[in-house]
Amino acid sequence: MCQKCTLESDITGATPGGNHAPHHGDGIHLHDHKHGDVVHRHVHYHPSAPDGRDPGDIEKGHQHTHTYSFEVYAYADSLIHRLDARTKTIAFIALILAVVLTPITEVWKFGLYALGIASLYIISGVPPLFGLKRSLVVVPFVAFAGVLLIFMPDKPHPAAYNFGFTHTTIAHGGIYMFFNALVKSWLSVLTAALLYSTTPFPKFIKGLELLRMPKVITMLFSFLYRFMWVLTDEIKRMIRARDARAFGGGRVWHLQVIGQMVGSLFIRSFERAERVYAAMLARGYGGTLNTLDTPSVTLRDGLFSALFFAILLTILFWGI
Amino acid sequence: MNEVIKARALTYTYPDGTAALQGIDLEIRRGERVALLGPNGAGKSTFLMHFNGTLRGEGELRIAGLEPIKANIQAIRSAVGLVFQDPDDQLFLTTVFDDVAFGPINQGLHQDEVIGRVKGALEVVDMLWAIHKSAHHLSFGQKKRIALATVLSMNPKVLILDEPTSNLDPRARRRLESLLMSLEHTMLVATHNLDFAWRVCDRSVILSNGRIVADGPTREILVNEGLLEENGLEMPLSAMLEGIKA
Amino acid sequence: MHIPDGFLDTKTWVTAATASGGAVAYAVAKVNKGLEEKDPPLMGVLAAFIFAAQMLNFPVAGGTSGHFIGGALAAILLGPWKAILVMLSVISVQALLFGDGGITALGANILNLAIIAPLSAYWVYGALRRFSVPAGAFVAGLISTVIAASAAAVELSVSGTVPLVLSMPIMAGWHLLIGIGEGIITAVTIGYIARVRSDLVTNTTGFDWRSLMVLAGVASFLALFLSPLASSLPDGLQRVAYELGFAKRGTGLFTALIPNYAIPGVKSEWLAGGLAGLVGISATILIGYGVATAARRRSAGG
Repeated sequence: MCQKCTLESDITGATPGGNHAPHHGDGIHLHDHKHGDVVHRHVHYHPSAPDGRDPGDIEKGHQHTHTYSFEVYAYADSLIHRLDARTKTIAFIALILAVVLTPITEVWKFGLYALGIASLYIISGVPPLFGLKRSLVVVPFVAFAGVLLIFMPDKPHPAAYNFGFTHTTIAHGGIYMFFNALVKSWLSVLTAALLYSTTPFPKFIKGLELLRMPKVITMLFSFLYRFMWVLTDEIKRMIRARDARAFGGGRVWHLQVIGQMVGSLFIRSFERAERVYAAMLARGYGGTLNTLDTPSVTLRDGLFSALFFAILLTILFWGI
Repeated sequence: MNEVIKARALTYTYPDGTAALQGIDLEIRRGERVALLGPNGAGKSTFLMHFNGTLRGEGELRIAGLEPIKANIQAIRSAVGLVFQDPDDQLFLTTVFDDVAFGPINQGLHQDEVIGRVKGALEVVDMLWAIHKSAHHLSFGQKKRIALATVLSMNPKVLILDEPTSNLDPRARRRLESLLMSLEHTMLVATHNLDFAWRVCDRSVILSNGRIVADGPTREILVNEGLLEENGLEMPLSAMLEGIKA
Repeated sequence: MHIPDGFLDTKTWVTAATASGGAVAYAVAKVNKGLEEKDPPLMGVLAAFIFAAQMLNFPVAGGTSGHFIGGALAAILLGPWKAILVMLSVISVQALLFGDGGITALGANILNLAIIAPLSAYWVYGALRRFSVPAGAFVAGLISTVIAASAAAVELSVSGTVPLVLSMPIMAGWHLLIGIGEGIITAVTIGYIARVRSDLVTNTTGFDWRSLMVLAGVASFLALFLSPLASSLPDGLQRVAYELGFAKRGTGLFTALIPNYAIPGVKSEWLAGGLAGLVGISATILIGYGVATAARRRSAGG
């Protein structure tokens, strides 16, 4: 059986949304199908012995996992995925900082940033289309600003604006502001998507812990990541139950029903917290969530950081 | 010291006055697999909560030879592997590895030992492939097996399982059953699934209104129709089928 | 209301992050001081509860819908400090895992939704609950939503992205409608919990006046650091001039802090902005450590 498949990188070569991607030879293949937000991934391990196949082995070989769409690439494998969470967090946040700090007038720098982000997508094997889809979250805000700025009554200003790159005079600061917000928010959210698509959140939390984030906050992150889907599933069941009973009525009635759902979810959550606490006590919990620290900063991280920051700082400080 | 669990006249009354346990006498010897049966509200969960120091009743109780006083709590929690009904309560960390390692780390084991224990326990429940997954990636049956691994990694002297088969589909239930059969641990299993008790446990105890009303070999208790009827239970299909065959 | 990156300029996001950093460090110190073993799982599962409850949409007006936010509910059920940390983790995870809200704007989003909203709700509820618990919960939900939205409007306008004359009425007006929904849901939720598990709502201890102090502290910090710049930069048009180097009347904290600012030319202004960012981040860390150390020392001393 494939050594790589039993451990960390057991979904190497995953092609989410695709069908039956061949994977390290004939013995193993995987395929995905989507139900709403959840991608079901089947990994099949077929023992190589062609006949006399033990049915139990096939059952064992059929490993069915669910991956939520936002992290469908986080558990894949690539050069970027293999970097330490801290390396990626620091590098990508630095990239976002650089994007935000660069004046919008230096258009060519944004072109280079976009190029850099695109190459990171390609190296990490995360389809850029996925990032583009995820980046749509900024649309409402951009639209809000855009409407306000572009349709704002034109205000004459004492000075004309000289955009260094085109040498044209534009009398409308709103458009400038709009582009500033659009380009920066868009590149930043593409970078953020790259971070959560190449770093499983548990590793990210561990990275934050090693970077001295207060323990109480990393513990909250950890519980939140673990239980957000458990409770989201509960609230979805409640919504289905409500809708099944021909939910209608006026607006206030609607809000009252939501209030009761929130109340009942709170009590369920509170009781779950009590059971979780009991389970923690049963395994010797004494106030902290003890996990093994597995810092894995390697030469690879050093080389990546050196190259990454060399390029980033060159772009950032070029011409200053 | 052959008894892993020994209770004498154990009583427990909730703060609101409900007498949940009214004098339990029970001895479980090493290697036994005991089913704890009884209708809802019989006191099964209250009884189980005594084994990790969450509740403490009156009377005598020895767990792995230890009295459940404060100084012994951590040793008892080390000796008892308590598997909760809902694996979403039992798995509270972000990765399977961290969850299975939590107990051994709290036992103060060295890092290499912890990693060995985690891999060993996941191997036993056949979930080693999921070591870096998060619980929300896994099916209910898979989570249930990992919940078992989280206590196996602590090398407990006794396993206490609360409704291990609830919500499992038949295939997942069969897998869990054969997994439990393959373990040599002393086990106390609270369950409503009498077929499961019939196949897995050699001894059965019926709890009713906070008292033990029957205690004996499963193959005798689960064919005693009058006794089962009285306690809101019914003869398992497996027992009936075997009766027909015989 | 999650502001993305690029909508806030450097001085605003750095100032907001510094204010949040200070308030969060204070909350961490307060929570750590009285932390019981059962608190981490309780707060963690309740953070997941807030996350899940935000899935609940309700119609607002004209076919649009808003969703439950939960800042007021968290403050009423958990008290101000735990509520800050719970809301902080929800907002951060939304930014980090879903790109909902920017990374540089995270400080501002935390300030609006995880500090200003719960603290103002806690204060309003504390003042009104002796008259009527449901009314207190309703007003807390309403006011906290409107105040958080107004804070976002101010941050956007101070950044020069959207002029205040436009952003304030739109954000505050819109969130007045959402806030009514938030208020009703919060009041019904508190009523429901009081009926089913009264022990979970009635055991709130006396009002913690320090919540008001932190709120006032954050507000005056923002006023002190942002208003000189804000008054000199009333809208986006002038910011353009400012960034392009035509307007030389930018004054305020960073001008004072960064001598490079005096060097003429567009590019060094940018450099000054970057340095200002660094200074701001260092200040955040220093203030955070300072507050945490002070709180720890006080708790150790008595």
